[in-house]
Amino acid sequence: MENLIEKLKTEIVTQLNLEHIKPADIGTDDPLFGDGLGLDSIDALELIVLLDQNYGLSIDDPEKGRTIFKSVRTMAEYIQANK
Amino acid sequence: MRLGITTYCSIGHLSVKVNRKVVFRAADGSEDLLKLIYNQLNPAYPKFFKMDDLCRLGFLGVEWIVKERPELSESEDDAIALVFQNEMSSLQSDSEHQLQLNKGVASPATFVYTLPNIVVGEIAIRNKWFGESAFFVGPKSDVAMLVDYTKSLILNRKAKIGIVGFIESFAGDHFLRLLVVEETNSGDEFNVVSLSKFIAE
Repeated sequence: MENLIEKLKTEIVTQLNLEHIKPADIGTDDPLFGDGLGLDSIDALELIVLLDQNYGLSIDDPEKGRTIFKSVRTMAEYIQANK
Repeated sequence: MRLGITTYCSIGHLSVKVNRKVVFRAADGSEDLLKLIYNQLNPAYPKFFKMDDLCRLGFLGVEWIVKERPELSESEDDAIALVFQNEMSSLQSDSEHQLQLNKGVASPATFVYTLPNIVVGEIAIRNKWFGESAFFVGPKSDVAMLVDYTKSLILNRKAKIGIVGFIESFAGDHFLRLLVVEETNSGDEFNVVSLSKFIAE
């Protein structure tokens, strides 16, 4: 799980062009949206693409996205549970 | 009403000029001029890194203008018109988007920049300028149209100040020529001759 979390942090920085942030700067339980990492709606779409491209997981229900993309840990848990 | 040019900004050939004076020059052979300019200005605006090159170029041109003319950022939110033009539209992002489609999965972050007028939006959001704006695209630069349109906005009181010019970026080549135009008796008069001359510099 810890390896997946660290890998996800690197993938998020790369996929979202977060050049001002290092993977290690992202708190595992910090909110990805709002006051946390401050991602926007386009970033949310990029995260969906990331899950699809890198893990073969698609999200059909937008409401699920709110839970899955709450933090890096929730993303990792979703991947682990569905891969 | 006489419209004069009160500020000039140009980016290209590894340098930035404001009012025709070099304010930044990258070393020969430098890669990614836009990031170098960003680092020089250091505006602490992370969204810059998500923009495509066309938006980055327009953003940086206006950042230099505001650095030279900080009072512009205090203007009423509808006082400043943004009037831009280019020949290649958002071709760089269009090409990248097409390549992604060919591979099967398009990036939303690329797709959102497949319109040149996103440049206007990025600048408007950054500066909280919500006045008139336009980004014209044509097969050939139309200086006369750009001058007429900008004059019309100011003479008809749709804007007090115009930031007007050309923004072109493709495959790492960047060309920006922006002017600040407003009612004034000083400076070069804003007309086809002065804008054409500036573009050719």
